[in-house]
Amino acid sequence: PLQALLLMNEEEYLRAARHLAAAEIAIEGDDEARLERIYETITGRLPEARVSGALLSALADLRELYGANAGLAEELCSEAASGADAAELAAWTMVTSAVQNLDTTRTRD
Amino acid sequence: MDVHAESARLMTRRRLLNAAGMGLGATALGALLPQNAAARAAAETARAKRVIFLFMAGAPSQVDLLDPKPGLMDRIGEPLPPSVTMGQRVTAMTRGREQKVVPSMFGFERAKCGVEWSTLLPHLSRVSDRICVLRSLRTNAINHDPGKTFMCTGSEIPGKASMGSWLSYGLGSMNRDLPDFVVLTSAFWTGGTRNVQGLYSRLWGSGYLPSKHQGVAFQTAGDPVLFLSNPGGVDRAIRRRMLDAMGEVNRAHQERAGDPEIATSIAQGEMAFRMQASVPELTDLSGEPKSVLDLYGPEVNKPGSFARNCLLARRMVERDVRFVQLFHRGWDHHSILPKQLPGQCYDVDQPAAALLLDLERRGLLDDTIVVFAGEFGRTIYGQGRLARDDYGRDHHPRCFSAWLAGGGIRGGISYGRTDDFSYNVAEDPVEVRDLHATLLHLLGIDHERLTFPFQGLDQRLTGVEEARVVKGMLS
Repeated sequence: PLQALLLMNEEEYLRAARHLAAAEIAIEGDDEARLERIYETITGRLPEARVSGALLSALADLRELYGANAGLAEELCSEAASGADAAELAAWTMVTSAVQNLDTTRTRD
Repeated sequence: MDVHAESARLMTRRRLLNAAGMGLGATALGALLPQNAAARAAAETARAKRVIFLFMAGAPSQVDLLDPKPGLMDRIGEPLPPSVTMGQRVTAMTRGREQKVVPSMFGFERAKCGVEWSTLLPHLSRVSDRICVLRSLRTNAINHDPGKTFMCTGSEIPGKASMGSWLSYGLGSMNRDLPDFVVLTSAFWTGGTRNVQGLYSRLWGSGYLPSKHQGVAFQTAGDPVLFLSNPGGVDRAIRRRMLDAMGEVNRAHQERAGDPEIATSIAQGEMAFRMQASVPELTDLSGEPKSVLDLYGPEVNKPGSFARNCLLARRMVERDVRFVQLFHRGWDHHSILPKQLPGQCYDVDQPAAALLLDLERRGLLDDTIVVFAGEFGRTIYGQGRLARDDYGRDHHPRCFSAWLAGGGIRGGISYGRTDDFSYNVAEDPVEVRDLHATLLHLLGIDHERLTFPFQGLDQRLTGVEEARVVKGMLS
């Protein structure tokens, strides 16, 4: 659990996630394509359907959670331009962070 | 070793759970239930449910603390007869030198129940009626690393599973909000820092067992657990949603790859989430009444002290942590023992006694075993200067002392006897594996049936040689 706590809560990991998420949002395209690129960047593989399904569903929920709580989104993403942008960036940051924390990311065969 | 074949064998447990109507998705519940038939039987015969192991790293001198030899008082400087040493392997420090007796300069006193204690341990002496002093422990290890590894894992060779990991594996969790196995190491000690060996995480590692059973070591100073709090912008609901997504993805991978360690990843993510809520409450001592703090002595107010760790240990077993292991270093007195030993005793005497009383008052001592032991003993022959009030002692594996209390242990007695020189065991020898077998027995486990297949062997904490449960120590 100590490893899990570090990977989830440590600043630099989160900053890296935010950076990657911000870069992806800047690119035009749909959510699936963005997620695929994030997943491939971090794990070196493409996500299977069940995996991208789970992460996109999380993205939708996170968008709602951050949309309803602007303060929280701004706390996570203080450099985003506006409230709506902050919520979008926050949601993508957490999805990216989730991919960072996967077992397949940490364990290389 | 064929990884897939090993994986397939491990999968049989999962298949059993599936067959019993619990699928992979119910691993959360499965984690609370005993993992095998032996463990189920354990619940019925167990005298104890939890263990607090007070590990005195460095090897405290039994000659000066727990094994009195008044007959040696007038024999200082006498060489040890070869009939006693019988060719015992010695450390490089002592090889080739003469072995001369040096008695303890600290007196011993009889407690009310009749057991003798060093005058350096007055608080423990006063609770002697709850304690069994074990004087006939034996080990093979002559140096610290193999010695500590042996006491913690049952083998001098690193890589095997530690005591707490075996219990986590065999008995399961009693409180899913905290780890089954927590380690607290003292941040400082009073008895000098001349010879202090390091501690290694493999002493509380899971070895070949699934790594979710490893011990979780809390920090000695500062926050007990780092990165406990979510960063700004992440609340508990968001963290939960993220973990749910991670769990789904990890499970998908696990079903495809069949790697049982992915289950560990899932479990550790969940444990981290629960610890975020449970650890702040556990480590918040502000609710402890002054009378309790006073019981443990003045050091309890210093974070990282052995006293504070004892209090934390009590709080942990109160919250049903299965195995709490404290490490207190600084006992390796190769020189200036008379100057350093009192400080070490100051560190542990009052807090350890307080722990027993505190557990007893809360009704926890009956089903919590407390063990106080080092990795081996110290020699009756001196090292360094040899004066009545200035001497050192070398490592000694052939006999050493420990004490146990609670959880089915008979109090107010001593068990086992050494010869006149505290050199050999004269009566009722207890090997380290016997100690392990006894602890497992009190927890309701047959040490021969709690096994894990690895490298062609049914691995056991008690190893491959025959081990006995020491009935004479049990109430």
